[in-house]
Amino acid sequence: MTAIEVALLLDTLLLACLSAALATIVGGSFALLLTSYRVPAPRLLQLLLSLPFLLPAVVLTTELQALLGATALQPLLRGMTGVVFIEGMRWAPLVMWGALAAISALPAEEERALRLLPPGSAALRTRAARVRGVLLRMGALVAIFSMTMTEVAGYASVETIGTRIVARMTLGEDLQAWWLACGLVVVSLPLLLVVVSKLLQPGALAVPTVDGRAGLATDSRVNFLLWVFGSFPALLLIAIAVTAVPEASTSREALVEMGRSLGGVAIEFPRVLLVGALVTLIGWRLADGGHLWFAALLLIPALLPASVVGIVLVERVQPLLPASLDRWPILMTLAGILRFAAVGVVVGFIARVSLPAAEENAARLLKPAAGRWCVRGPRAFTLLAAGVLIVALLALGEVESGLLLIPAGHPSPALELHQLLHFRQDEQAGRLSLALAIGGGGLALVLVPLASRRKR
Amino acid sequence: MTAERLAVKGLIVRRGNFIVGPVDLHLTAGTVGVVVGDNGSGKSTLLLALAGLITVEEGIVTLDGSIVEGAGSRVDPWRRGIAILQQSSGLWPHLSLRQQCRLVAGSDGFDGAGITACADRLALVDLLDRKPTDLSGGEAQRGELLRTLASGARLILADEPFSGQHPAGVEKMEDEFRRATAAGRSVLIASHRDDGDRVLLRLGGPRRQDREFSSPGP
Amino acid sequence: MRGGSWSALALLPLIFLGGCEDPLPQVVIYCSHDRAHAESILRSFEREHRIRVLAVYDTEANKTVGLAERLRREKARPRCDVYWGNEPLRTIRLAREGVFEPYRSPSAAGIPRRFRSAEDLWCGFAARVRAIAFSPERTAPKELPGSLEELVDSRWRGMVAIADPRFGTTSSHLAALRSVWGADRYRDWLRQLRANDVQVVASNSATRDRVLSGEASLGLTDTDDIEVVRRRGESISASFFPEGGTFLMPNTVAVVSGAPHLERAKVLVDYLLSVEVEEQLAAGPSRQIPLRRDVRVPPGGLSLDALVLLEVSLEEAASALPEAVDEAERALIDPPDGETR
Repeated sequence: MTAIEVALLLDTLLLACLSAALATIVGGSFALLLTSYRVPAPRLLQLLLSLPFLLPAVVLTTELQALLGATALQPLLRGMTGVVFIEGMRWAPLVMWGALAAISALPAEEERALRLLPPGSAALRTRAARVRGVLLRMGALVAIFSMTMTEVAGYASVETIGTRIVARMTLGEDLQAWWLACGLVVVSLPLLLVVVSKLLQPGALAVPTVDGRAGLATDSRVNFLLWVFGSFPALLLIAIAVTAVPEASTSREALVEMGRSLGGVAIEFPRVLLVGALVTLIGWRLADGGHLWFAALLLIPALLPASVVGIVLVERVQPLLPASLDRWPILMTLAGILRFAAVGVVVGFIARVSLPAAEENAARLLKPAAGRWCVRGPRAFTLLAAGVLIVALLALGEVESGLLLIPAGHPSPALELHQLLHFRQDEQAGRLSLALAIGGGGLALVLVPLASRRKR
Repeated sequence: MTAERLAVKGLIVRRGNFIVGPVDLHLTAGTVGVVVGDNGSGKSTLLLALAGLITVEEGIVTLDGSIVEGAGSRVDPWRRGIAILQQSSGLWPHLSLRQQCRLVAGSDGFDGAGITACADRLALVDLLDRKPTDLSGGEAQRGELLRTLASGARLILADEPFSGQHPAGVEKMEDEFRRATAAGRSVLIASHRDDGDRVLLRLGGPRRQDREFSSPGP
Repeated sequence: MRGGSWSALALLPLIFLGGCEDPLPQVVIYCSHDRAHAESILRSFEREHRIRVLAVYDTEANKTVGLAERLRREKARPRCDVYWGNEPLRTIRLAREGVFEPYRSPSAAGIPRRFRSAEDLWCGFAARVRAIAFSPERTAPKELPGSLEELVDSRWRGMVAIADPRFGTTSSHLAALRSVWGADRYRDWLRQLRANDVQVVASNSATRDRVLSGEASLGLTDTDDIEVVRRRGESISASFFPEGGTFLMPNTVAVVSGAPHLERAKVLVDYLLSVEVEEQLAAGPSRQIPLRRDVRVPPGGLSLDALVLLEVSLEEAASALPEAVDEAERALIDPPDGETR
């Protein structure tokens, strides 16, 4: 590896860490404010704040460019600032979900005591301290995924190690690409250690037991702040919706093509949900069995650029499959499982430590299968559902390995979006983005009821 | 009924920077024994260690003549035939009391009628289909005892079992312990109250790295 | 894990939703031409020949390795029948690696020899050219550079945008320049470009977008990237290089060696090389240039006669690609000599 490549590796590490820090600060703050104050329409707000994650990166970047490109905020989108800003915003909802899950799992007595504190910094600081471990791990996970970024960095005109690896592979210089990939893995190992450390203590988090929003303070400044932040994604969505409206002369074709897009999304949703379910189940099962180091091994593919994972599968695994299986998205599914196993592992371990010690002890006196499937599994359901959704959305937006592995004729909304935006077919792209955002938002509402606590 | 149910020899458990033990203890089948100690003296730790729920540093635990801990062997908690009533509620909030009892009972514990009868004696029969979140603190505690008894375990460990109960509740629970011992089961209670002749072990002294223990003898 | 495994297994059939049975015979194409326009051509083929075309379309380069690379990696067991490339150099390199099978299509008769492989491994058709995107509102046509070398002029300092030189047609263009100019002149030009604060952006479309937003005055990109937004009413125009010569990039089509559906692949290649397809591409918003002189060019379209072409051997340019890319990476992407990040 040359000195330039080493410097590039460290630059990428810096970018990834800064992006993760921004995502953690923003996402963590949203979660703390949403759970510490009585905010109007918290579910809607939560959904709006999740929007940057529900939209594929290409749409988010293009729309931000369209909204801010002509304003004084444009430098926010360029260079290293641009990468950190966009990556940070994109991943903040992921951290927000993790923190919401963790805060909603505080024991009743503790939560009640928090609500008796003055609602300002004391309560916020205490809550933050209670979920610091989860925030740290979610942040490290974001950093791991950001280490391999090529897309957002490309839009901001920043070279990353991921882009360099892709460039090497494009020219068939595989050996150099693999060296760089090895360097990427080595440099990312400390992040991996942060993710897997101390993940085996039961009861580190505890049960949701508090009645909804009773006793939460209201603060107009907090409402204002959250709604201002929430309205940015809403503005993005409106901009997309306006773009998506077809001209009168083409509305019939637009309708047909929208139907086709929705059909593609409908075909892909079950597949990506399957990827999400498998990955989350595997991660949780490993966590439940305490297989920490095996779980850590599963994190490694997340440290490689998706193109590298795709190339390995297409070169080494595809020849082993019979040709009759070619038209089924088996390799794509496998790539999704490998790439996003890290999310399953982290969610699985967080779910495991969320169970209070007394419940965990009682469960351990059952036969292992009964303890797992009748107690720990159902108790982890909310978190696991969030994990399924996160992985499903990531798999849906995956283009790097998708292009290498997609069976001919199989729909891929993410690939189609890239193609549409490349040729500025903004209307169709807008409609497809809306379909994705609505589908993802609907799923989020169904699967992740995190901010609203059930009465216990 | 003079067979030895539980024998503990030289048991040492380390939690963070404090140590419990070495502990020696003998409990006969069909009896109730009490471990007494102040708050923080290590009673709960000892019970968790006997159940196999935390790691033991040294010592041997024998249950009905078979070694379950020490001498190179370690039997999984769920195979030991031990049930535990913990100080903080270990009821699972997503299942009703009846579902929890059925889950722990398996083939060795109470059948449906047994669960109802026991619930009746503990004044829980109308609450059997409620989830723990719909129970008061005292009801939940008796509910957890119900679940513990329903498991059919030979040894019941109970950590401060009467702490949240009114006198009538305490009486009901004591009755159930007597009924269990009459059926040949054994009960080991951890309590901060001195319970006279049932006391098997006193855990005492301030929190220290090395703690002294005294046993009232066999 | 038993319960979980069973529930996961129950979900497995869902991933097979995409693979439902189709009564028509099939052919598989990897296509790096613009999806919207390629799709309508492929649908016409389906209607005419009653053969279902299963296509994979490329994305813009730089975030992934692209379909050309996928073909290379699938060489051990090809899944594709026909490759439709949107530029010639990567096709030539794939042909050298034995990815394609010789096929002389009867439809290729009118296409000049220099746009066809000597061994009939590939054949070019409708071409695009590299052009300078500019906004007529901000830059007067008479100020425009006549050749690429003028891009290093100090009056354009910081106002020229170019896509990542390692990917896509930008890399092909640079390889062509290196093979025509020679290594020294090429490297020198790159150095001067860097010294003139050229903006290196993600892709050709991003290059064009910099011109649209006013961040750059000139953007080196492809004609179709410019044309699609011009037709939407944006203030943007394409300028070619009257002095230095314009780089012409024909689409290429090739039959994949070991294609699962060889006979159907040939039928599709014959169709793509037909006069009608060239006409459709010339009339479409990507404003392609027919390679046959006898194909009708629509009003406003581009024809070979209207351009001064860069005289380059495509085979030599393909050979120059790795060095051209390496040198461009060092000159335009890596930090300047002696500096570490």
